[in-house]
Amino acid sequence: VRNDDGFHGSTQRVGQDDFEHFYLRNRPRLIALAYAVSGSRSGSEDLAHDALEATYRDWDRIRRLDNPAAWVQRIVVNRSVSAYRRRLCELKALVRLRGERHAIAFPEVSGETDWLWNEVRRLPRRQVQVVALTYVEEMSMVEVAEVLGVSKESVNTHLRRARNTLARRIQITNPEERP
Amino acid sequence: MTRLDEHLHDTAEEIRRFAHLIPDHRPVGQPGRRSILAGVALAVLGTLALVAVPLALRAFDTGRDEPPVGESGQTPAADDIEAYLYDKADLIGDLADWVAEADGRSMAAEASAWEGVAGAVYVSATQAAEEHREMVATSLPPQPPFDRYLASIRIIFTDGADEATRSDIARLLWSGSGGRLVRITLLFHETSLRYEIPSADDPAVTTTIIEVQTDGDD
Repeated sequence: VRNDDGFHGSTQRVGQDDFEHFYLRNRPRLIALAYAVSGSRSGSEDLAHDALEATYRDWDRIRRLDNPAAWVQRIVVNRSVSAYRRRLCELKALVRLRGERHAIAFPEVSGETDWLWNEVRRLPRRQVQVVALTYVEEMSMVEVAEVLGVSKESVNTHLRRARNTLARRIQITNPEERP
Repeated sequence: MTRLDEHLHDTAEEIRRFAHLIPDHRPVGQPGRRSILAGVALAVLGTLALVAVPLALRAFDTGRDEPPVGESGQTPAADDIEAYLYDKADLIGDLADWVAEADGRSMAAEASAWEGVAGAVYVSATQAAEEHREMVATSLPPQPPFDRYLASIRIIFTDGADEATRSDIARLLWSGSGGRLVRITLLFHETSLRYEIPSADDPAVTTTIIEVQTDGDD
């Protein structure tokens, strides 16, 4: 069990038929995770619900896993990367058809957050996932490794590279104001 | 902790707060699992395709009437899924026609994508569609305990439309799908509307605007 709200609840904590509880407990954090990776509000809702629905469909099996939440988190981070790429394609299509593009601002998060996480989303797929799980889910490297099904060392490598790249890009973009 | 770390932590916290503010759109008054399922929003299958693509796909008729999923819910072979998706291009093409009929100015709907779910076939269908970028996925029949189709559609329009027109489009899409759509997202150049279908049993409440954005992004 990882934290107080039981996001990493064990099978016992989840209970036999407590999918509703699992849903309510996990939904907001899955949306946050999906948004961090995909950058899409409605898309993050869909991704979270999609993953939860997939969980529901196989609930009898998943609830017996040591960490059901990790299972659904993996679905979200994997699909979110694809969703982000598709979203970029859609935006490009809009530009192509319209010949212009209005400035986009995501209303629910600050411009700084939007900007920084857009930089995160430009990273390679695995690095995006590692960064999102590390910061949005506040997971340890061991926990990230469990969700992604990779070694702790691999997580460490991806995280280090991601940080290096982000620090470099941020400095180049705006050395005075960016961290 | 570096400044970058601090910044990532701070912004991640903001994202978490934002996520908690997003309402749960599950229908009210349907307790238990069914309410969860009825309210489930489906991820958008983002296969970009010109309207011409699904229209062209309409000509590809394999004559299949039934989806490649058995009562057992076993995942069918990839070839079967592909054939099924091509089969359903007829429906997509019809929808494209309805869209054009409702809003002639927006004839050139750029991207349309369907995503359906049906038990174990869902993931495989998604994967199959993603492997064929010009393929438009469509809804698959429900599996127990589903009592209705769950499907979403996402279309990008090249120009704007007034609210009445948008509503007409959503209603046409809904009726054209035989009531199977539960979520419709229409993307215009400056606004994004999401229509959620609260009940398959009450056509009078077929569409409800639950989200309006003014930035044209999402």
